[in-house]
Amino acid sequence: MRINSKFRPGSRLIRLSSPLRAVIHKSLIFILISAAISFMVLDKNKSTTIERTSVVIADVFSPILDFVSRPAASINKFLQGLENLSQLHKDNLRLRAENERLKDWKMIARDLGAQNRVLKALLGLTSDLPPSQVTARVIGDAAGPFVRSLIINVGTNRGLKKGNAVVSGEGLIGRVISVGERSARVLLITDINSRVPVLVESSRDRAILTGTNVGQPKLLFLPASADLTEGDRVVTSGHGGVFPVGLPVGTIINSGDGNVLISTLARLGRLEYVRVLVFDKITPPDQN
Amino acid sequence: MLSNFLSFVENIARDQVPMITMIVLVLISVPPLYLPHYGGIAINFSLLGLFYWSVYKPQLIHLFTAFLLGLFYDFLAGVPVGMFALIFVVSRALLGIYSGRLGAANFLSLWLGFFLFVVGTSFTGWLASSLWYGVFLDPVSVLFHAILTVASFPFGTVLLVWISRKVYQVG
Repeated sequence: MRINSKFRPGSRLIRLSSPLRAVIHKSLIFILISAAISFMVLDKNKSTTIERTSVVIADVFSPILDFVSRPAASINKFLQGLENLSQLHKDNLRLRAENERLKDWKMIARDLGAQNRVLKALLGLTSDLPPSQVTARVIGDAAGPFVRSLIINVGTNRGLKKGNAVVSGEGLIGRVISVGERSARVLLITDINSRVPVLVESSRDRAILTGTNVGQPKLLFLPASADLTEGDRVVTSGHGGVFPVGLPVGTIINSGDGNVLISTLARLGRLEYVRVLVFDKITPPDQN
Repeated sequence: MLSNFLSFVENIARDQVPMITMIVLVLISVPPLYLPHYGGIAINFSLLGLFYWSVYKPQLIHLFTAFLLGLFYDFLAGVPVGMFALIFVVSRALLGIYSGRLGAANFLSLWLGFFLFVVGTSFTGWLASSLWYGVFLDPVSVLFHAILTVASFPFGTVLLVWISRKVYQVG
């Protein structure tokens, strides 16, 4: 086969193109570094294009993530089964005692419920409709030390909306920050960007729960006169209209450094299934 | 004619193996492992792939490929978009310079090289995300993440060496 002399090794064209290629290669590093920094700036400014791309990528790869997460989920289920087996006798005794206590509470609750209904009817109060719930499986959570978020396997196909509260059996875990057709990203309450209006159940002191990207979130903007005791329950206050009122979040723990930390009720490290509360944000009348 | 075409396709497919393994490593970095406190210090397996292929097959992991893979990880993991694209591009450029020396090194020296690489990427990630959030993130979880990632090197390398031997008869 005859090779065109222009492309023969050592030809003039190749000799000319080598320095050019080196220049392009060197500038490519700077172009790509600049592009990466530009992406970070765009993301910081909450670019809708970045958000939409993120949603599309999570949506496209959600079936693969779902498939890849299955073996770990099966192993986790098996290990939890073993853990439960070893504690079966102890749990049985504890649950019997708890059942006796709950029977008393049931009678009190029935009585209070009846009183509540009568008083609400007398005052003409309208009660909030309970939000509908969608169960979802966690298919992505290991983002390392830089962010605390989850990917779940339901999206707009099940009616999810941005801002919906997400709970586990124990309490609040976060809120939906982006929704695709069959996947959604949940920002955990431990993420540094998370802000949740809460109140201390016993003293009714209001505060903002904020994440720290490490174990426990902390309370900010507590009133100076706040009366707190270790172990007090913290629940959502419903202010801002994003979260329903009264969702359990955690209990107060003493950090010893002046910060009021919260031990979350939900075990955020071992979430397999979560519930999304499909709840429309309450907007003030002047914004309607 | 047909055999020429098949060998052409085979060569193209072979050249894509590093990129495909990197995509797989990104995809296995994201799903949950249900281990207590693991999410916050999770291993980024794609760093293993980037290091290995940049040392042994640098010509098959182009700077632009590294950029796209970093961006893919950013979008999927939910970290600030562009952060790992930046880390991957800088890492690929630096590893390209030392690939000859690292490629000829024994396993322990290679592991030491990976250790320095992970320290560099973790520090860059910590600094970039701290600047992005406007607050210094907890360095302890970044440290544990780095330790776990370095500890995973022998296991990841076994798999990547096996792939290398199967596909390129080297490694």
